[in-house]
Amino acid sequence: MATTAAALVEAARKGDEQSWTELVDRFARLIWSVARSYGLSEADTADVCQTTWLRLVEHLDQIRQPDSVGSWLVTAVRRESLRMLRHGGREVPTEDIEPDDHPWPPPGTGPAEEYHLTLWAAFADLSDRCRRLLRVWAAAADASYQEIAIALGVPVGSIGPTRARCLADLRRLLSRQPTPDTA
Amino acid sequence: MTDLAQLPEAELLAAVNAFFEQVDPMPAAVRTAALGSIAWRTVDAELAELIEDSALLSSAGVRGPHGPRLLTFSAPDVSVVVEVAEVGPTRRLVGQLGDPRSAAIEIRFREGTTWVEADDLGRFVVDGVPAGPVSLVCRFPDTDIAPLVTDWVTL
Repeated sequence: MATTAAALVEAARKGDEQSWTELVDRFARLIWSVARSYGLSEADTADVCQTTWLRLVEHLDQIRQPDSVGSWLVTAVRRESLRMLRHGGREVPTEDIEPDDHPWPPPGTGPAEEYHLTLWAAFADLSDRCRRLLRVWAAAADASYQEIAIALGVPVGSIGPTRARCLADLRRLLSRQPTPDTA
Repeated sequence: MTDLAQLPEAELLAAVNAFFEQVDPMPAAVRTAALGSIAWRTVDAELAELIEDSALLSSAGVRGPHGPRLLTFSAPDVSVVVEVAEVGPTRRLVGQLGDPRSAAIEIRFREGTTWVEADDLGRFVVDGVPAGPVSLVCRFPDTDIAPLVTDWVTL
């Protein structure tokens, strides 16, 4: 059985580096996905992620619910992403960004393979909320409803129905796409 | 070719995850930096949390020129206010300790640290701080006063 998040936090508090490594590996991609879903550049996302992990390091002794460190991290990265959007980072933003309207695709990305085109096209036509939800959910399939709710800034009670609807929307959009020509 | 739309939920999510892993993966350097961040942990210092950030006070959607940003960090016994000005890719910090007292200020940033002295009134200025994660550690001549470490913030 996997080590609990609380056990990893408590061991990291005592200086166990292996536990710190496991903590990072458990949540790093989720953190990256949440920050990226705000439409930050790669450089700014890297900064936001780094600041979030450093904050955790200094708060390690203070965290009141070690088992909810995932929620703590998602809250922290969301706040830091919003700060970055409001005040900018290494790159000057070119447009105002409303909280419900995040750029797609993530800055600097594009489909690299033919088989990406189907998902790429489907994601382009999903709602902003579904894009962000599906990305975050896919990054950490065992993320709790709480963590996803915090990442999106919505009530936790809405996650179940929203997840179901977004998945249905994705299936519908995927069904709509013709198979890309391989030629 | 697999019909993605027909995949069961777990497989479809895995396909979405694989898609993002290919198209927008977390760079290895981000993981490495996260692993290394534990080395920055201070022991025996009081944490001064960021309690106010002028960047979050500005009205939504308004984005003027990148003017100074005011950060307030607070610990139970002492606070510090820092005004941040952008100078190209670096930042100029003008700080004021809550209590007028001298201190050695360590400015920690992604690649290293730099030091500056706060004067008897608790004021300090430091130029050339690289943009990115920043945290301050304030150490007082009176060793009865615990050092102060501020929340990391992305400047």
